Amino acid sequence: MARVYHDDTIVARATPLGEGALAVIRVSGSNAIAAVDVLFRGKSSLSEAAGYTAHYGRLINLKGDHIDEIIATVFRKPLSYTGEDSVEISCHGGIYISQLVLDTIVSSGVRQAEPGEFTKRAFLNGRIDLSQAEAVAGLISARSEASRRISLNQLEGKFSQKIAEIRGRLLDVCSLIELELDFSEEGIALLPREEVLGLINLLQNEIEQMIDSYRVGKIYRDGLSVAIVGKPNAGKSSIFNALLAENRAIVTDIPGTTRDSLEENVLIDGIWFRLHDTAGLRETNDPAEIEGVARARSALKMADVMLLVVDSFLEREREGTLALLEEAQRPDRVIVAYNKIDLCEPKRIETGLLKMIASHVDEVLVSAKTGFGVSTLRQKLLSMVANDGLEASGLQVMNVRHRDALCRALTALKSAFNTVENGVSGEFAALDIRMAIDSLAEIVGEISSDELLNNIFGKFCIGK
Amino acid sequence: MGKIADATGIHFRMLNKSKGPAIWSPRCQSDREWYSRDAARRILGQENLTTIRDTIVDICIENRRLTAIVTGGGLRIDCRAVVICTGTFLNAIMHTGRYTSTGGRYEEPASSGLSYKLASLGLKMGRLKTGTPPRVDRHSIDYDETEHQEGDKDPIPFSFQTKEIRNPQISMFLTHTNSKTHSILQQGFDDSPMFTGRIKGVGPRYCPSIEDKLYRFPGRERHQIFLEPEGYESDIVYVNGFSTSLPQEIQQRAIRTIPGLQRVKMLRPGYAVEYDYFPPHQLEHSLKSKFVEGLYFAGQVNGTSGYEEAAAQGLMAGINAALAVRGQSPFILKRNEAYIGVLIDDLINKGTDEPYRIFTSRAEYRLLLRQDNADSRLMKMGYEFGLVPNDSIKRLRQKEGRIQRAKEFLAVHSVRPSVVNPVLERAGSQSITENETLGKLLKRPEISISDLMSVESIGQSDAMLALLSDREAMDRVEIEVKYEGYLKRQEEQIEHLKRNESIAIPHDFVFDSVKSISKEGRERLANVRPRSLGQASRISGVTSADISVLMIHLRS
Repeated sequence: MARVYHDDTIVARATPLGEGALAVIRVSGSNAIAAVDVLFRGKSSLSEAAGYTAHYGRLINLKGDHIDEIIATVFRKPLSYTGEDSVEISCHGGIYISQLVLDTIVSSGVRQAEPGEFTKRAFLNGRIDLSQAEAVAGLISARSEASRRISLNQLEGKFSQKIAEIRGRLLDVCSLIELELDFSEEGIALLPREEVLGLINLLQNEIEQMIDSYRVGKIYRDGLSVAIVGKPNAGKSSIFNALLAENRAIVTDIPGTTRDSLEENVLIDGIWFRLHDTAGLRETNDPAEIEGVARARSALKMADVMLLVVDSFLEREREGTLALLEEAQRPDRVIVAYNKIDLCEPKRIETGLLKMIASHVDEVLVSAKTGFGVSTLRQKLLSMVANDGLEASGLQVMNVRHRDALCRALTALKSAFNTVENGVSGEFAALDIRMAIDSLAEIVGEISSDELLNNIFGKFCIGK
Repeated sequence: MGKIADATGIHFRMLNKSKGPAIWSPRCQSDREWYSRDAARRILGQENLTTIRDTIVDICIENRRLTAIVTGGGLRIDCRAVVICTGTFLNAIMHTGRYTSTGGRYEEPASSGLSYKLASLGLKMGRLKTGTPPRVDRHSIDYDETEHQEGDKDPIPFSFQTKEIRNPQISMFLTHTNSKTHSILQQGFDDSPMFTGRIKGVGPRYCPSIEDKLYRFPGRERHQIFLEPEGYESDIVYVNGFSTSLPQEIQQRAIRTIPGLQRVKMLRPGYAVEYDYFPPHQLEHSLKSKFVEGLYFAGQVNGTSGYEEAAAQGLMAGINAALAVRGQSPFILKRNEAYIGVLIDDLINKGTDEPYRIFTSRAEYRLLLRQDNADSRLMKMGYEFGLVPNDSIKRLRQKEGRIQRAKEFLAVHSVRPSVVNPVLERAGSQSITENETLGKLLKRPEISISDLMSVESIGQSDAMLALLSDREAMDRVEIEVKYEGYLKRQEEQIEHLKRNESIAIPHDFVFDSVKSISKEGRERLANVRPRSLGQASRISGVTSADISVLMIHLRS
């Protein structure tokens, strides 16, 4: 991508490669409209068309052969996605026909676009800032409603506005501190120390909240991983299947059937859960099973949530259950599912099973076989997201680059706070605040290196 | 200049002592007559230097290269480089109320001609204004009504070649304006050349006239006035803070409302002076014109205020003119090397529409640009040009050796609690329970290097003993250990930003060809013609989006 940016004209397929009713080919650049117009036979010429108008006609190649019937939508700069003159061609959606349309456009002297080049141009033409560009990538890859909503907010610039607002307030504080240095001989204090501390503290909290939101933002984007663990033959695979509502894992009544860890995604109320069905944890001499147990433990280590499956019928299993709880990565993200509840007498369940373990652990009675309790289990899984106490209000940080920059800003602000609190002269706090400001500027691309730009736009698919 | 200040100074004061060491700034007031005599003596006595007192009326240029100048006395001097430092004298007009006269300074005539000659070369020209306060008779001041401000007991010389200041110090006197003063001054606003629009030039924001201060800070009830005797023998006192171009009669009445000045005798009124300047974006960092080889500009003609800013440019333009004549590449100080670097970079990139003054707030790397390390930062550069004598550089090396050894000693040497706790307690600092390095202790705000040296085993060590005879070295050690964390971070910041400085922009780059840069951005870039991406990013009117576009273009 280390290529000179001209406004030369580029083309790419904007819809995925595959059979479909329609495919969209996007052309952008100073020559976009003229280049398509040469190949277009319709009622009127595209070159004279106003922006935001759609035109039906035939696409021909340079030899004059009829290629396809198309709708060409004309965009005039700067009112287009890239900020340049653009045409979007809707053609028939077959792999071959859309490729032919693409090749035809290329043959008239238009260059094939690189990944993310359309969005990069939108950025370079000032249509969007860096965080908005990243939101485009986020929007395309959004797999859930919540993730889409957050990306859309980011694209609309709400996230950038928030960053700009915090940055603006920091700049104000910093300029006052710096200006005060010039007047220190006249004893003019522009901003009392308590006020500086209050302001820094306030902004620190806001940045902290944004950093916290990354955990939730990440959940909305990537989902939560759930390790289903337990003793052999507790019914982990049955629960796995019940949650997926399909027979994905092989279930037998022979303990130790599951050797490998299976992984499958399930969408519950807009959140993705990545379920890992694992081998039962026990001492064994079977080499394949030993490996299975090792994989189960490693899945447990990586998981956000531990779903511990207990055989309600076998009382002797409970000792072992308690031991397994120790291995939870996050004690507040543990669910204990008492499976095979259909085999137990109701009375024994109430007195014997529940409240057996520490009160902070979520417990569910389930029968994977009858389906009893599975919807409660789904709700429990969802509540693991809410455990972080944050709503998908729209300003979640979804991007690790943003989080890192925010963390750097926070560290710098903490240092500034200490500096001011210890009564050290203003120029030291100014240094820290400047560093915080620079970190925030990186998020929206105000201080950017070209590696950063290439890195970001390189993540796009071609045609965006 | 530093040497002359040291020789003729009558009042030395380190300003901003209440702030951290990066903000301390030495100030000196010299005996006016003596300073000017001493400066003339040194210039006239300079080897290989011929001095001619005359006016330049023409400059000769062939193929955009300066070849000669012609003086009003009819002399033609062939030369390869000229530094224009016309101060406030080009087409200068002085204003007091509605009364105007031509002239660049009290009893000194203006210079015309040259402005037009330079403008005819295609250089852009502008108007600026500056001012001066009234002068009063020292015998007519009631000193009891003022606050006496003595000079520093132990003055620190400006020049590292000056060993100590021997001149006796005299006091300055602080007083304030009041509401009466302000209401009288306001009566004169109708006649003020500032407000009637007769002064077209823009005045300085930082040393504004008293009428500007009233206009801009209407809420302030009083403004500081310093009464500064112009010399040991002089009867003239400079009323610092009272720069004005209001009618003489208003000045007279207003000044007498100020405590200490009720019966003051005004020797001559304040006035404003308006003059031509050449907007500095037309210069390279060497202070050479972008359009004419060999033509350099320095001082107020570049739109700065006088004194330090002017002197700094004079030095740089002089060095660069000489280097150019020798065929060597120019000497450019960077923003992270010296305030001079900040000054010149700001002038070129940001331009100025009021007389530019250098300020702490302008220097982003201020923690490194301290007066206490100026010798280490700059003396070696001066030495290479033959501007610093051998023995000075030798002394600098010895000093740096002492600093280095002491810093190492403090970093590795630890003390037992029993040894150092009494000292810590005396300083109100928390005592320690385990051995601790001296460096860590010195980082505590309440602990000074002298506190530590009062511990015998520390104070008597060779590394520390060496500091006793070198106070400047001792201060440096203390500052650099105490603020080590901040200094490191500042250096990291510089490293971080260096990358953009290292992305060069070709000499013949056509900014206008990059259509995706905003129109204003393209214009500003074409105007200034930055040489690196870093420089481009500092030009006012160039947005960060413009820089991103430019960066991608340059990385082809």
